[in-house]
This record gives sequence, structure tokens and C-alpha cells, in this order.
Amino acid sequence: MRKGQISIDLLFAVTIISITVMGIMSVALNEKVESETFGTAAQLRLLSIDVRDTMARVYVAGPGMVAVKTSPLKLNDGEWINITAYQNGSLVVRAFIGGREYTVVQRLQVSPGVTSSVMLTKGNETFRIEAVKAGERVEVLLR
Amino acid sequence: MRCCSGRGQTAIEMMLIFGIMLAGLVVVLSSVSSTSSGTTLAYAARTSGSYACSYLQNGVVVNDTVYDPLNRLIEDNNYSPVQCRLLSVRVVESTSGYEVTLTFEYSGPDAGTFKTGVEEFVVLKMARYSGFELSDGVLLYRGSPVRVKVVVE
Repeated sequence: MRKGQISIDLLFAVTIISITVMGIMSVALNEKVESETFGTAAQLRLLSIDVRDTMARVYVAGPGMVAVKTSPLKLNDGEWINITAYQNGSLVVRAFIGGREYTVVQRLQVSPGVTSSVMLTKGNETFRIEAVKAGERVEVLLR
Repeated sequence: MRCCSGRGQTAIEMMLIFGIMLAGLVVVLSSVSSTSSGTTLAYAARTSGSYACSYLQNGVVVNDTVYDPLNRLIEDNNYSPVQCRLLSVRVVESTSGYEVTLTFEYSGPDAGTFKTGVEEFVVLKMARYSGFELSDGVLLYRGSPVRVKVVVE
């Protein structure tokens, strides 16, 4: 077999393989950005569940109980996470991360009694969940 | 004289062989290209479909035009996760284009809204991959129209 013949066979094979692979590759590369978005969304959901459960636990523990939480995501300049617990019993986590806005809503297991909210930004990623006595009732606050 | 005519003959034979090889290559490449289209299409549809379910199960609303149809489903469901699962993807190629059928397992309320929402999302999502484009609401893949159909089981 001559050398030239081998190389042209190889060339044909490589061309045919690369046509198939490139089609799949283009789709796979597009997926990278999407999976990052999905990862952020999943972490925000976890944060919302964590806050919801912690609020219930703090409420049960009674006035004076304080839980300190930290954002699971590293925030860069201009990115923020806003956590709001509404008096009507819904917890809303809004975030602006990587140029996209995210919203998660959770139903609280206990009534917080009052609407409170925290804003997490770069360098300010810690917040507290507190139970305070308000007359006869216990209120759960985010601050 | 004898040497030169012989050499010319070899050159012509070589050209003939190369011609046959190139013609063969054209035939093979066109069939490979069409098989590859089907593979890419099925891959894109499967990725978009399973992503739709992951997104719905996560229940987090992302502010982006692609996710609008799914966001409506999540909002209709009171921001709670929507349970669904992608069962199968089928791509049928015909002269008038491609038909992609995605089968989902979904047991929640209002299967009709779910169907249209996911259908819209898959079209918008696939349009973002290279080779696909959206013109007047019709999804095109390398110029031929792709019809996306969602079946709920």
C-alpha cells in the first residue's frame, strides 16, 4: 500500500467523523451557559427552603432565638439577593445574578406575623433570622 | 516516446481513480450529513425537553424570554414545582421537513396548558442552538422546517 493512499483514507474518515461530532459539539457548548443558570437557580431554591425551615424552627424555639445564615452564592459587584417574608405567610427570594433575574416563592409553615426583608450584596452576605416577642405573639424577623 | 506516452497514461488513470473516489465521497458525505442532521436534531430536542422538566421541577422563575412559557406554568401552579418527565423523543424526516415528537409523563392539572407551554419553550430553546433559526414563528433547521409536537401521557 502506498503512503499517499493511507493518508487520503484517513482524511476521508476524519472528515466524516468530524461532521457528526461538530453537530453534537455545537449543541453541547450551548449547554454550558444553561447549566450555570440552572445551578444558580437550584442553589436559590435550596436557600429558600433553608430559610423557610429555619423560620419555623426559630418560631418554635421562641423569643430570643437567633439563627445566622450566609448566602450560598458568592456575590459579585452589582449582584444581589433579596429575601422577603410576607405577613400573609409567603417567602419570596429574588436575585439578580450573572445578568439574570431569579424568583422563588415558598409557603411558610408558620405565620411570621410581620413583613420583613433583607438585601444581600457583595461583602454583606450574612443575615439573621430572629424570633421576637410582640405583645402576646411571637414574630419572626429577617434582618 | 514510449516512456512519455506511458507516463501520460498513468496520469490519466490516476485522474480517473481520483474522480471515482471523489464522486464516492460526495455520495457518502451527503448521506452522512443527513444522518448527522437527524442525530443533532434528536439531541437538541432531547436536551431541550429534559431541561424543560428540570426547570419546572426546580420551580425557580428565571427572567429570560426563553423561559417565559415555562414561567407561566410555574406561576399558574402557585410557584410550586411542576412534576414531569421526558419519556421519549422521535424524529421523523419527510420531504416537507422534520417532525419532532416529545412524549412527557405529566399527571398535574390542565394538560393542555402544559402541552402548549412546553411546546413553545422547546421551539424557543432549540432556536438558540447553532444551525437552528426562528422565522415568523416557524423553527428552521438548515433551511427545512421543524414541527415540534408534545404528547402527554
